[in-house]
Amino acid sequence: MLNGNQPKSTWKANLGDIIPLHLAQEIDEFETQMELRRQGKVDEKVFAEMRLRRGAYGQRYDNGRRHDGEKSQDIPFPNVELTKGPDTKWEAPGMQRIKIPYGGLNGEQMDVLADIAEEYSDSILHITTRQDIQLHFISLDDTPDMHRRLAAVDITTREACGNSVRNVTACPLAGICRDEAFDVTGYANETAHYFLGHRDVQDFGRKFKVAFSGCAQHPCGLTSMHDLGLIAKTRVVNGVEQKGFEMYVGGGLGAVPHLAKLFDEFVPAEELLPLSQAIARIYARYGEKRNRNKARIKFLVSKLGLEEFRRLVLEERQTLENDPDWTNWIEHIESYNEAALPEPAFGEPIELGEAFEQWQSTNVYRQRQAGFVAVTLALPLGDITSLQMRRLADITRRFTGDTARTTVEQNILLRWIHEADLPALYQALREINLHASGAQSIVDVTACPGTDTCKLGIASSRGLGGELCERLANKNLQYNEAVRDIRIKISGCFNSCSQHTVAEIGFFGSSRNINGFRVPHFQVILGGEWDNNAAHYGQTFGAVPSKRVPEVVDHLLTLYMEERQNGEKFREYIARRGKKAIKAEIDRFTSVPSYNEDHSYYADWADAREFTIGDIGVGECAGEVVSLTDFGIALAEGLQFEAQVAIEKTTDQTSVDNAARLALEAMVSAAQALIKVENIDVSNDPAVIVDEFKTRFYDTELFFDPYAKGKFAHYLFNAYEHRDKPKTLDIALRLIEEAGLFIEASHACNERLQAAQLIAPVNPFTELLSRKVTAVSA
Amino acid sequence: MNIERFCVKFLARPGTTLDDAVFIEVFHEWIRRHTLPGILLDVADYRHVPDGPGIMLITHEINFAMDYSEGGFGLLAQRKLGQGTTQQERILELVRATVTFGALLEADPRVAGQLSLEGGAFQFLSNDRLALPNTADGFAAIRPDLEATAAVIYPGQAVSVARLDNDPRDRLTLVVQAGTVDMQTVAGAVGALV
Repeated sequence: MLNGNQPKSTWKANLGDIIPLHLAQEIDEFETQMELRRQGKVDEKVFAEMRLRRGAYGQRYDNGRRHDGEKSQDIPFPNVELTKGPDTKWEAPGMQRIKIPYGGLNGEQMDVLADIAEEYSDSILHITTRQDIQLHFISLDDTPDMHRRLAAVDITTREACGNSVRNVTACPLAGICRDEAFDVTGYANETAHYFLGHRDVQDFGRKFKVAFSGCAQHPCGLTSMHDLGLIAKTRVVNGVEQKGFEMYVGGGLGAVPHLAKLFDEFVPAEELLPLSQAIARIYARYGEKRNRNKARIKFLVSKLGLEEFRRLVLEERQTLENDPDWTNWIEHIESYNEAALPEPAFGEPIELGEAFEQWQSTNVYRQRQAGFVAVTLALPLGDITSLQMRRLADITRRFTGDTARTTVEQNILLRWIHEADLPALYQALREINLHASGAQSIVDVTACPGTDTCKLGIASSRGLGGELCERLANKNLQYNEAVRDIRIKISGCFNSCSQHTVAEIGFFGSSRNINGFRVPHFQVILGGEWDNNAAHYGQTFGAVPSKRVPEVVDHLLTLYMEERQNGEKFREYIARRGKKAIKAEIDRFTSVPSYNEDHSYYADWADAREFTIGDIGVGECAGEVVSLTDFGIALAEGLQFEAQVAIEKTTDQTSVDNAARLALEAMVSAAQALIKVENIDVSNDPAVIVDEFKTRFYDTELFFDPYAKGKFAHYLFNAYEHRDKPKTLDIALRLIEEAGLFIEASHACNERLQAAQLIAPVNPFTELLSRKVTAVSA
Repeated sequence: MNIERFCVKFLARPGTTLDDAVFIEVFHEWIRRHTLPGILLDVADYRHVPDGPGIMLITHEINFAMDYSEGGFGLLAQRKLGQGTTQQERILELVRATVTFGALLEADPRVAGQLSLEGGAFQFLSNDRLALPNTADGFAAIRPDLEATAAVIYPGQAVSVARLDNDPRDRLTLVVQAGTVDMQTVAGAVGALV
């Protein structure tokens, strides 16, 4: 009998015998650090990194301020002086990221995930684009118990965030794929566990992401966009087949995407961990530490050059003392093999009609093992409720060998389903409303959290994603052979968390000032390649108002369906039509009605607040000056576009040089436009512009992004400093990307100036500095 | 019994014709105007999730959701922390906050006439499996507190308190049933701020 007089039971006591000792100790230590932080005995910056390494992230508004559509208001959190990081209130809700190596889950784990989502979060589990699970609106005080409950089912949140090895991802079809060289599951999991808490991965300047793929041609592993990418390969030596990996390094999306470079054509399985360890050590030793914007390994590989990077790694490899953990798991690798239930769970045919047939056509994958299929559950925007997750755990037990996998497309995959069980499985999924068709199709839109919960979000990626899902599904485009395989991915900012760069149609959030009002926009990215492990990145085609994005998508799809030739893919169609022609099509959707005409354009999707009420009331006097600046930035956008066009068709040295020159000119032009806010007579001499920009906007920090700080200004400074150095295609592409981001930052800076209402006639710089309003960007 | 985390849910009466999008506008306005007591934080849109929590108003103390999960569409309030030294006080406080929310929502001009919540019955959900598990013991432990609180909420009415026969892994759920009562009437009984 339960009663209130009993000593209070705790999860720590209840799970003490179940949680592995080392995990229990780590969680206890974190709880101790929390207490020390409460007592002010741990620095807030140090605590923030500790917290992040436990996967406990900050969330939007955790600085204690929120714009309510009319003004920015303080949120009166209790204990407001207590922080969990710089400018991060302890009591503010946060996000918990939970690492799921290779996306592998079993029913027991799904049950616990459902329980903690219910008790500590808002009953929603969000699958991320790196196979993690995220919970939102979490109180930091709840995290130790939450971690204990996860640890009890062999899930750790350790190093889910922070500057360490993040979740190790893998193709969710591993082991059942028709095209893989071999099953990478065990290799991914052993790599994840080898590096978890390893001493050599504790001193990185930034995060380090690892991905495994079973083949080169499919996108599932996305190895080209990872810090370390591994593609399964076999070779025959002296008549014996060897397993190994094609190893890539230095890939990454983020603001400036880099395709990974081939480090080694064949790394034997026995060398996977030692060589990876050597790479980690070289990254930790030589990677950038002070400037986090240059700290990913992609920058180190670019800086050193691949040959020198490889030499250093191989040299380091020779110095490593043998570690039995490098290989002692290989003899047990077969233990990762999954199996189906011995017999179908039900098997009797059921008449389910057209909806079942359609679902089969989009959500079912025939395994290489005859008679078995894998089924993708298309989760809307990656979300599933706790109740659905608990029922899904039961379904997983009933129909599979108790395994499921999360996917990088924010879905869940059930594998090893007896084909005869498909009707019964469909019925079971229908009972919990997880039977949506269109998995991995055009209606299965991917979106990062964006302005819903992310501190960096500029525009509502999920709001737009939800809108597009509904509209496209209403048109049944998931069954249209011509367009069904087009992927749409939406990020709330330039940081590519939705992986928009590798989608056929991608968007990232931005904003524009229209007659003194801020209007949510999305940059359009077209021509990325999802296949071949994300082998090509898309390019920007300019920004369109958020509310017009559905029109843009409709128009592009209509054009493609009407004009495509010989079955060409969307990416090929975009390339054939050419950037100028496609941009002209998109430019038809850039206009915004006046505020009085239709103010819905001035709010974001699924958000009733005006996007920026702070811009209302900018004086007419300011308007003229601002228009000049806007005009200058628009010219810069044109130059950046010309730079893209320069290397669209040919990539000879002349074209490359031309593109690089135009990209630099675009940045200089945007800088000049900003300078005109104060000095309308600014020189046209680039040297003077760069110098004056540095004095007026960099040294004063007026140009600083609230989170990226001076990162974008350095793009200009570096490009100008190295303007006479020889250019490669890679450099030109990077300069073009950087120019695009510099221009975005110029828009944002211009808007901050206007938000502070400090455009002429007063001197904005003196006034702005005196009022210290550099962070007016909400 | 002594638990902090629990929920109550008042179901909507049949005939709701509202587009959920209107809740987004209303809740943002409530945050701006500090319409409800507590620390109002944000609005979460889960309309895309089938059988999900719909539109939520997140506060520091309570998550309010116009929820579509098991049991049907209704107003779900998830208590995270709050006042009250006894369990009965805590339950009454959450019911008061929820009824305040519901009555204000029904009266909002954008909602009025299109949404009616049944005040005469509600579900109580334990949201702490450790302190109050979904067992017969758990039911026996919380039932007296809930019966005593129900007597305050529904003065002079016959009230039943029954355990919902659900999956043992789901939350312990009790159904408190009086007659048919409007939200405004319940609001009056519990001293809601409307």
